[in-house]
Amino acid sequence: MDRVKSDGDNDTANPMDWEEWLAAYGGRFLLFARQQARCEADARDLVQEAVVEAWQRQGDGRPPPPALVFSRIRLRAMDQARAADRRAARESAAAGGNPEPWFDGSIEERERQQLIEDAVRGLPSIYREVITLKVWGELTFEEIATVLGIPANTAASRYRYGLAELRKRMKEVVT
Amino acid sequence: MNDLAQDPLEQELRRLRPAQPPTELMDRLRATCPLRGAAAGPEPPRGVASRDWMKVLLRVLAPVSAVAVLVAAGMVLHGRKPAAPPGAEGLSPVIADDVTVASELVSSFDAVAELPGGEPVRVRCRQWVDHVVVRIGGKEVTIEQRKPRMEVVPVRFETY
Repeated sequence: MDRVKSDGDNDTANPMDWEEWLAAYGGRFLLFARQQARCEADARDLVQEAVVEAWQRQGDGRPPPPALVFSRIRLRAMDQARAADRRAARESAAAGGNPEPWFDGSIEERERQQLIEDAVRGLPSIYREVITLKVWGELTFEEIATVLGIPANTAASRYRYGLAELRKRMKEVVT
Repeated sequence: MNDLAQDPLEQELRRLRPAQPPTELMDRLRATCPLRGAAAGPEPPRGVASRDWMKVLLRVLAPVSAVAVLVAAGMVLHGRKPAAPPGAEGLSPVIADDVTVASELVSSFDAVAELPGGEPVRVRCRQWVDHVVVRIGGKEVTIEQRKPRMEVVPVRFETY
């Protein structure tokens, strides 16, 4: 996966920066938001709100660092969850799961991809969010630690345990 | 901290591409980001923008309103002119040669009341009718106020 340079240069914002940035990171943000939100509509709202907030914090018109957007998604999701507790009926309607596929893939890969996706969905959230931010968000453990508000060593160990758990779950399904 | 070396599972995970956001979400994101080259920043959702605008307006208007009220109060207290009676606009003021005010006592009575602290207080109530005679250049203008004017005077109880 190509990583788009989003910070560090002094160029002023131009339309292509944002188009490329959105094309490169939109899916990753939505993947993380889908794991944090209760339903697809909430996940999309999370992405939009987080992008706007992160851009406003950035303040110079350039695309914000992805870690900042992930961080805003998580904080917004926590607010959303608190609000969702007050609307139990809607929550129960969304509890049936998120039918949207998390990953794109070719037809040949579809079966294997579904296996991995199911395994990732079944992971405890503390492992799933670290794996998502590390593998598909392409954040460093330091950045993950900042996003999640945990020590970097904890982020690294959760990633290691999460991979082990994922491997175990996939073996159980295959065998 | 060095990131972990990739194992086969990790490589396989990395080969998976997150699903692209639906067109509807991308359109929303484009609408909120400065894709049209606006370095000033994204246009937030309409509701958010109007709330921010209202906040700024309130922040400006609140102190301005307070100052305006204070200035208006000062003008009323210190610089107020007596309002002209209806129909008197444009008339020059009249200077009277003599003014006689006679007051007629209509009634007088005393009453006892209690202050909020329970202390009794005596008040003396008097009703007056005023007769005002104005003389201007040999002409007399009599103004009589027939509506009784109530005068209430607290009178201290004598203590021994």
